[in-house]
Amino acid sequence: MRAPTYFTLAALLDGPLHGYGIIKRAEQLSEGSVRMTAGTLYGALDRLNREGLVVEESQEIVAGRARRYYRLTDAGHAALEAEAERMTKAAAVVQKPKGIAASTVRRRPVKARPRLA
Amino acid sequence: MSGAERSYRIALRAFPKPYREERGDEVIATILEGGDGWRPRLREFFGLFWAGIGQRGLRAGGERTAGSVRAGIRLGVFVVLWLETLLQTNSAVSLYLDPRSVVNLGRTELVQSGAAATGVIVLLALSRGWWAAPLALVLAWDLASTTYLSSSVGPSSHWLLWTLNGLWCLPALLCLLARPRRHEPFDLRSPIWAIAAPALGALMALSVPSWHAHVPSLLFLSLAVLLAAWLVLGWRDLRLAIAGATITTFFALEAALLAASVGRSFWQANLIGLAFALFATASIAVGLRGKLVSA
Repeated sequence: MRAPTYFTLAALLDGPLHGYGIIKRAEQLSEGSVRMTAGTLYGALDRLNREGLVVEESQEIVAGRARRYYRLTDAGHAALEAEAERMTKAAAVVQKPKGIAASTVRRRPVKARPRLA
Repeated sequence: MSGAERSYRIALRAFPKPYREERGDEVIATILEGGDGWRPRLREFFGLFWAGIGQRGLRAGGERTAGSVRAGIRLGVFVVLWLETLLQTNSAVSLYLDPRSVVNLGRTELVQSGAAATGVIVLLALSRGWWAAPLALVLAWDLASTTYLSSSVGPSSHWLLWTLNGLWCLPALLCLLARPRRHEPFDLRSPIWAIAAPALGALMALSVPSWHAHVPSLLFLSLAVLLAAWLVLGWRDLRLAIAGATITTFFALEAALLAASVGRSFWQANLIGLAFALFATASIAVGLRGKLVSA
């Protein structure tokens, strides 16, 4: 799962949001590293909708324009949790405490070389 | 309507019409909510345009399966074999009518036509399964022809013969790599391919005399027709885009080899090859863009 997709799903964890709300929330959650354009967002939303991870919750008209709200489905929750768990495990491989990491490293025994006189 | 909104609506034209009608206002509202409403942001503008291209590729391509790329490669190889057969049969007829032309590369072409014909027949006969058979047959034919020809041409042509015949391994290898998996349809038996391949071959054969004559207007006209035809077809179907890329890549390689063999300057001799290579890149970009959006 790519970062924009992950943070789009994560943005909807607290409840339904509309397009701009998702963009802002994703930026906030990723500490500014994911700044989606509207094109990226709606591409991701279409795909997630097709996969049944996100659905349209409601629609309202603001300043003469349609504003749709999207929410996570149960499958979306499950996919997000699965991805988070995968990333946690992946991070754990790198972030092991130094003592454990050092003890698990196998070292080849070094043969003592006879010194030349 | 503000200047920014007008700009975004221009970029929105990249999306297919049904999508624009359904989502256009919502997308524009989302962008405008984040800006000052007067100055268009380039990032949003190009993001919108690029997403629209992706949506077009996605919609036009219809349903995409995991086998789309493989099916495209198979089709491309199939058409390459057809084209070579048609072109080299033409050479064979010329050789029969005027045996003196054997002094040039006529004999090589005649043998290549045999390899192509063998490949087509085997592909047609065995397109429902056993993909190793065409590979083996085409390779065997090529090796035999190379052995025969290397004794009848000058030493300076040896490397060219080996390279050209090595190039013939490429379609066969691609056949093997892109063989259909268990659940995928064996689409080469579809009557569409049977009609499309000779039609394209005829188009190519008609345009070839203009290449040989180096008549710029005819050359560019024929190239433009080919490019337009493949772009339209490729736009509608990822398999056709990939097939177009496969075909053009193959002919670009062949053109480059032949050009190098007669010692022409790169830019003069590789005009066709370069055009084909550019088109291949465009085909892949169009096809894969849709693929990426759907992935």
